[in-house]
Amino acid sequence: VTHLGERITALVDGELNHDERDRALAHLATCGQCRAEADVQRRLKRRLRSLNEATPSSGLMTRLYAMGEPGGPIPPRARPMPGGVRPPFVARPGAGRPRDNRPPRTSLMRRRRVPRMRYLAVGAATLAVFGVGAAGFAAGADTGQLPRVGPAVEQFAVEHALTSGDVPVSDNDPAVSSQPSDGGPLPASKPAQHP
Amino acid sequence: VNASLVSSEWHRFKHGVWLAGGLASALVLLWSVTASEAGAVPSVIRSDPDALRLLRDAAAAVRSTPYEGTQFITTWSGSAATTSLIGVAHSPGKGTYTQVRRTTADPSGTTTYESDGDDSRGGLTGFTSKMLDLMARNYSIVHASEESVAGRSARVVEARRSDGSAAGRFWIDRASGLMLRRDLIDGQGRAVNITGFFDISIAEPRPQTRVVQTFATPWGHELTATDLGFLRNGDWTVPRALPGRLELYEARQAPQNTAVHLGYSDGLSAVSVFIQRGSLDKRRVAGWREVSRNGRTVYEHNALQRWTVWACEGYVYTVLADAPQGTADAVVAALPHGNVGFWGRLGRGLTRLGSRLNPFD
Repeated sequence: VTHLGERITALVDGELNHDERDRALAHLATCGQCRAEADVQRRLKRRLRSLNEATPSSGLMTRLYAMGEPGGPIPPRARPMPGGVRPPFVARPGAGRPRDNRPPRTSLMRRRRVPRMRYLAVGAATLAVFGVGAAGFAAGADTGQLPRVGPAVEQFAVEHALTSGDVPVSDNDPAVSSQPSDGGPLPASKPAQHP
Repeated sequence: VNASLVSSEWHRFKHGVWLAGGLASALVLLWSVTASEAGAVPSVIRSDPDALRLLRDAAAAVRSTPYEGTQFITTWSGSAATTSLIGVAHSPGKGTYTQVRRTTADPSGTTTYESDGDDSRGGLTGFTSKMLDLMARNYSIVHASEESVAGRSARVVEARRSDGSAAGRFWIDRASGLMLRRDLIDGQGRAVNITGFFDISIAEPRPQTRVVQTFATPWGHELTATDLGFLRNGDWTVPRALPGRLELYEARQAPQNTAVHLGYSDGLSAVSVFIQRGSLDKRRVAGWREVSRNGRTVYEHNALQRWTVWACEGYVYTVLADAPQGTADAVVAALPHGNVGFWGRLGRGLTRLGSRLNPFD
């Protein structure tokens, strides 16, 4: 015999479709075990529904309403403006205000609420700084394969000479390299002799 | 009503006090800035206007005078010297032939031709008009004496340092106004470089039958201040000045964008910094002296000019100096070298990111 099992809960909750419901009821007609189970669940459900309908006591309601009553007017913020008229002194109301019977805030609650945003902001800023830094470090790497280059001696020598008023002569010229490096042929009038 | 009037007058008075105080502060600030700037400007170096005019006229004479002769260039490096002989022939309105020679009678070297144009100098001047301005700012230009060069009477003009010692000496032909010789002298009074005529004839040169190997023209693309700003934003090192009062007076880009040329001078010394993007191909500096300077490997070649080449962080630097050894060494030390380190790499990366994100870049 196949019992209804979890389908009993669905039957009690009215979640079965038409055909399934018919089959389940037909089974209940013949199976005492499932019928007993279905009765237990129906009673339990009724009991739960009755719990939902419980009304608070009138004393509790009175205290709750008292917490929601409006207090006195909010005192204006005293912020003296340079050259401005000082706002008149407003006595802080409080006499007619109902007693604050909310549970007192603990230091733990204060610590949790206020700084959470600050921690978030600091965390986000730190992440941003590290992110930008990492991106900058990565972008600062040497860029891939570089071409191999060297000084174009003749070209550089001519460019240097033409822009500095010298005679365009390259050191690579064979006639230059063959010259002795002991002073060479100097005119007789050379005034600045090397020591 | 009276109370409100008083209050309004009081406010007006207070406003006036604030305004007067602000104006006074601004004036004090302005005065302090202008006073400090005036203090930063070096005192004007006194030059002989006639000596300065001789140098300016020499630059004009070399373009307008026909001549033919043999020049020599001697450069000292330590106790050794290198000398080269160059045949020079200039026809005004046409151009200048220069040919390197083994001896005065052996024209075996490369012939270079520079046509006369707006930028051409027509041969030896030793300076350009921009350099002459720098020379007048950094040195005292005075008459020295009269001497003879290549058998011609010449007036001598000296560029003197603030201590009175000569840093440069120029011989100007009395008859033609041509520059006959130029000496560059270091702080110890030793000649660093001498360029002058061995012999010269002031006349239209003989017709040239030489084969020209090189047509000398400066690189066409002159870099503007904006171009240099873009280069600096893109990691390139473009100093405005270098040690030895060397100022950036010219910047050009090579054809096909293969190199950037930065020309520095104090009016007498000329230092060129060539920067290429890439890593150093050591075959191009084969035979050069490999030395360690400030903890890095550089390649040197001292002959007619002082060459120093090294690679650093994706760039190859070539320094070509017509300057005393100390100045050339200080320039090399002032340029980038070695590993940039963590902060250098981070800064470079942030600069790159910034330039990529900049919509106007």
